[in-house]
Amino acid sequence: MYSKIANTLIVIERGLLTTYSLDDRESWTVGRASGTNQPDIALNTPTVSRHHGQFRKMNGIWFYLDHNGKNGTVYNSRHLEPGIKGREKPVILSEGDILIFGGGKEAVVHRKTVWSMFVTRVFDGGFKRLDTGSFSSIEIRDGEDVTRYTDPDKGTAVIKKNGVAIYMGGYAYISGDLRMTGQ
Amino acid sequence: MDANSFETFYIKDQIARCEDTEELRKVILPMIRTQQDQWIRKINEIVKTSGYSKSGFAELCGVSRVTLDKWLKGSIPKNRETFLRIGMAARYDVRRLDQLLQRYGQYPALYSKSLEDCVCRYVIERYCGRETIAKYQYILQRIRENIVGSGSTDKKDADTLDIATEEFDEKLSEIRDDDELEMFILENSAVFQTAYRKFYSYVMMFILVNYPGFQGSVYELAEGQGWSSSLRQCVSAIRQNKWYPTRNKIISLGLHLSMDHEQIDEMFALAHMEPLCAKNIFESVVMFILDDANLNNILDTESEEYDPDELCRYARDVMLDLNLPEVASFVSELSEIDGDVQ
Repeated sequence: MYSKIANTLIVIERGLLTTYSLDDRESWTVGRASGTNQPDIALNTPTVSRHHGQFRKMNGIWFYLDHNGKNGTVYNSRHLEPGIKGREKPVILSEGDILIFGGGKEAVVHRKTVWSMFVTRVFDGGFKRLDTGSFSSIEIRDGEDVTRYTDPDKGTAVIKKNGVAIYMGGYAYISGDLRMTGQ
Repeated sequence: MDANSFETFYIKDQIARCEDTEELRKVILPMIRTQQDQWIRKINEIVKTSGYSKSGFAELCGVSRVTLDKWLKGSIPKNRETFLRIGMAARYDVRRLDQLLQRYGQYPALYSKSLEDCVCRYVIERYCGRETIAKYQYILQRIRENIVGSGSTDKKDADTLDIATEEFDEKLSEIRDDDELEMFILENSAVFQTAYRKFYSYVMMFILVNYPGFQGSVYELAEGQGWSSSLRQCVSAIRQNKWYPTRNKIISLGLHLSMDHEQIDEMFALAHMEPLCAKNIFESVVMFILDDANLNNILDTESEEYDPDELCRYARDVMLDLNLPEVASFVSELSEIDGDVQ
C-alpha cells in the first residue's frame, strides 16, 4: 500500500545534471554563488539572483519560496509573482513539477536559464546523457509503455514507472531502464 | 467550453475589469442568479425524481417533513453530512454527489482519505437508495467503535509515507465487501489521520515566511490579531486535523492573511473545493475585492510593514458600501479596528 518517498530535485545547468536529496536537510537556499554568498544549491548562471529562492519542508511536504528577484522563476509554465504588497507565495511541490530559474516571464530553456524538476524517487543508477542533436521526434520506452513526441520542447520531461527521461534539445538525460530513440 | 462554463468565464472576466462598487452593483451582480434560486430548482428536482414521498425522503435525510418543506422553499441545509444523505437518497454516483456538495452546498468534493467520505464512496458504489444510507450509518458506527475507539492506529511516519489520492480511490473501488473495507481502513488509519496535512501546512508556511514574528503559528496570529471567535475555532479545528473549514471560513482566513485571489484558490484546491465562483454573488464580491486590491494598489504601499488588518478593512468597507443581503452575515468576520490605532 505504501511506497517510500524520496524527495529529489534534479537540476540541469549548462548541460550538467545534478541531483539533490532534499530530505537530507529541512531547507535549501537557491542562488548564484558569489564571494561569501554560497547557497546550498549554488548556480553560476548570471540571470539567477544571489538570493533567488528557497526549498523548505514542513510536515513532510516540500515548498518552493521564490524571493521575487529580477528574472524570477517559472513554475510549470507560470511565472511566479509576489502576493499582495510583495508577500511571498509558497508553492507546494508535487511529482514532476518543473521550475525554470532566471528566464524572466517566459518558460524558455536555454543557456541563460536553469532547468529543474521535483520528483519523489531516488536515482540509484544515476543518469545517462544521450546526444539527440539531429532528432526532430523522440520515442521514450519503458518496456511496453511508449511515449512519442514530435518537435518536443526543450525541457520536456517524462516520468515512467522505471525511470525519468529529460529532453533538452541537443542532448537528453535518462535514468533507470528507460530507452530513448529518435529520428 | 459549454454555455454554462462560458457564462462563468464571462462574468469572471467582467469582475476583473470592474472599476468600482457601483459598476459591480449595477452591471455585474444582476447577471448572477443567487445561490438560493439555484438550490430551490435543484432540491425540487431531486425530490420529484427520487421516487419517494416527501415524508419518505425527509426520513432518509434524517430531517422532519417541515425541514424538507423549508428546503423546497429555499432554505439551504446547514451541514455537509445532510448533503451526503440527500445525494445518497437521490441515488447519486460520485460525480453527481461531488457536484451537489460543491455547487449547492459550497462544500469540498468527496475525499476518500477522510474516513466519512471513504465509507460514503464505498456505499454509493455498491448499494442503492434506502440501503445506501442504512449501510453508511452502520459501517461508520462499527468502524468508529471497533477501530477508532480501540485506539488501534497505524503509527507509520507521515514524513516518509504517502499514497496518491487516485491510487487510494482505485484501491477503495476494488474492495469486495464490508469486512474488507474495515480491514482497508485499519491498514490505512495513518492516511486518515494526515488527510488535512497539506492544507494546514500551506497556511503555516505562508505565516512562517510572511509573519516571522509568529513562527508559523496560525493560532498565535489569530489570538494576536483579534480574529473572530468562530474563525479562531476553525483554525483550532484545522490544527487538530479535525476537518476542513467551510468555504466562507477559507475566504475569511485568506482575507485575514492578506492572501491574493490565486492563493485563496490554492487553499480551495487543497481542501478539494472548486475555485472562487463568479456565479455566486458573495464570491463575486470577494473576487472584486481581491482583484481590485491587487491591481489598483488599494492597499497602503507607503508602509513597509505588513498590516494584517488592511485587506480585511478594505473588504469590510466594500461590503458595507454594497449593502447586499448575500454579504451581510460575512461582515462580522472582518476587523473593525481602525488602521491608525494599530
